[in-house]
Amino acid sequence: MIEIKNLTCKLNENVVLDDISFKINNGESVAIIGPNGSGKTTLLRFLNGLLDIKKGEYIFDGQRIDNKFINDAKKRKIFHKRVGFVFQNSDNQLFCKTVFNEVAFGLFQFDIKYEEVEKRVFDCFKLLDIEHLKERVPYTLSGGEKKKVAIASTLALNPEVLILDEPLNEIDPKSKRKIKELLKTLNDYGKTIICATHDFEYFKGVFKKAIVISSEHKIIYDGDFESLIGNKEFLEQNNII
Amino acid sequence: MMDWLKEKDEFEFKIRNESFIEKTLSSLLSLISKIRRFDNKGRGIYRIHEAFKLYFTLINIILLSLSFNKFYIMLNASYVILLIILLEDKDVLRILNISLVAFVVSSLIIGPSWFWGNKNAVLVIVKITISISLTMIMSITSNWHNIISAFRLIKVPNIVLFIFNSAIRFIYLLSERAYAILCSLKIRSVGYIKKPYNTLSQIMYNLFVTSIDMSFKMDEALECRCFSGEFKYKIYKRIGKVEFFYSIINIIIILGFFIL
Ligand SMILES: Nc1ncnc2c1ncn2[C@@H]1O[C@H](COP(=O)(O)OP(=O)(O)OP(=O)(O)O)[C@@H](O)[C@H]1O
Ligand SMILES: [Mg+2]
Repeated sequence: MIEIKNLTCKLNENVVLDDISFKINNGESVAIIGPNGSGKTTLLRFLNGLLDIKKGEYIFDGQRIDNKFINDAKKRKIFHKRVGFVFQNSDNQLFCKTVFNEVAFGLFQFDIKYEEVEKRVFDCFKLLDIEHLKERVPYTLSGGEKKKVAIASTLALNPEVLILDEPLNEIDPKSKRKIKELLKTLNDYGKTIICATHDFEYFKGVFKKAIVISSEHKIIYDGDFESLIGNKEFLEQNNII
Repeated sequence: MMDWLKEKDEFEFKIRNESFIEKTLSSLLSLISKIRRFDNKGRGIYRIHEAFKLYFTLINIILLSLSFNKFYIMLNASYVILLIILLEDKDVLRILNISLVAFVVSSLIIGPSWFWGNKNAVLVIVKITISISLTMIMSITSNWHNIISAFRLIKVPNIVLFIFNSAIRFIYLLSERAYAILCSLKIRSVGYIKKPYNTLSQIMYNLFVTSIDMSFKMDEALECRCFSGEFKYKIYKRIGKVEFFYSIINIIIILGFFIL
């Protein structure tokens, strides 16, 4: 479903990703692991078509995602409907005036009946336990609440691929467990899940595959998740634990 | 290695006037808390749909300025008193303050004309005071965001409203950030800054860069949520009993204009 070939990226003369290639199949759940500043967030932004690819190739569902694709408004809209992204910093993601509008925003962009929108929005509220926040202003919420609203507003669009950037930051233990279960359920429903995280030990049983990016911005591991966690020596050597 | 970390420091601290930071902090804090007020849900009059409040208040003020009927003006005055009774304590005080100022100022300006034979002077003063109180009650009990979207009913394009709302959001996020920076500055400088204006310019620079970054990120966030140019917007607020009673009272007052 997702294929990255020899992607290299420089931002302001700093190399941020160095010759990266990998493949993610439909329905897989993948953890992206790496020390701070290794380029996880940048990689996820590429996967969402938010950055121009200068060197390398990105193929999504048989379709090359390049400048030409990104400049086609209609194709882009469908692409973003299929790929959901939860930002690392939720402040940047929430821009509506109530939580209800925030979650419904994506759905309003398509011609969907209001009743259907409302039903979906309330289902998402239930999934994340945030119904009591529905009339609040998103950017005045607490950090963890913001994150949950951001996840709900991404889920509302029912994306096929869900990309999350450190979803457990600032989340309390109970909600953490809930989000973990949620990811598992979504994966069972056949959604592809890609998640950058530092709490990978917590996610045991959710992910099947792991991709490790080193501080030198290269991929140093691409394979089974469980056997990576077992290999303490490797993790320690690469500044991950 | 790092011996200094194990021992206690013994310096003399210079304590100076910290009014610069203190003042900025408190003004920022009041700004933040004002915007946070948009966010409380509230009961009774605070819950009434903003579109109702906006348009009824507008109609009332227009009719009031047209009328010179004593009874009609009395009706409006008693309506204002009713509204004030329904407010929360802290807001009652604010409204009374503002009404008093309005009353005094308009008396000073218009009062003297009474001596020259303007019999309506007293009525005008009362009308001004009532109009100002009505407006203030509306703005105090409402959420800015919703007042802005109430304007939608008179065909202001959605994108303009979106820009207004984003502006409020930016002000909030940036002032929260400025507050955090100033707090950390205060803690680290132990109340003493060598060059306050130099520091200030650095903070401004930081805020400037942050705001540019924020606007780029917001663009990305819009795109990720399939935004494609035109804006669709819905107010999520059900119309209930409160709005019904509010409308009835207001319609009675409006009828009063024509009957009395
Ligand atoms: N716009 C930019 N201009 C220049 N450098 C950038 C830019 N964005 C990111 N970088 C650099 O790219 C590197 C990777 O950043 P990225 O945000 O992808 O890291 P990360 O792996 O997500 O880290 P963290 O675990 O802290 O979230 C960092 O060294 C960062 O300074
Ligand atoms: Mg990151």
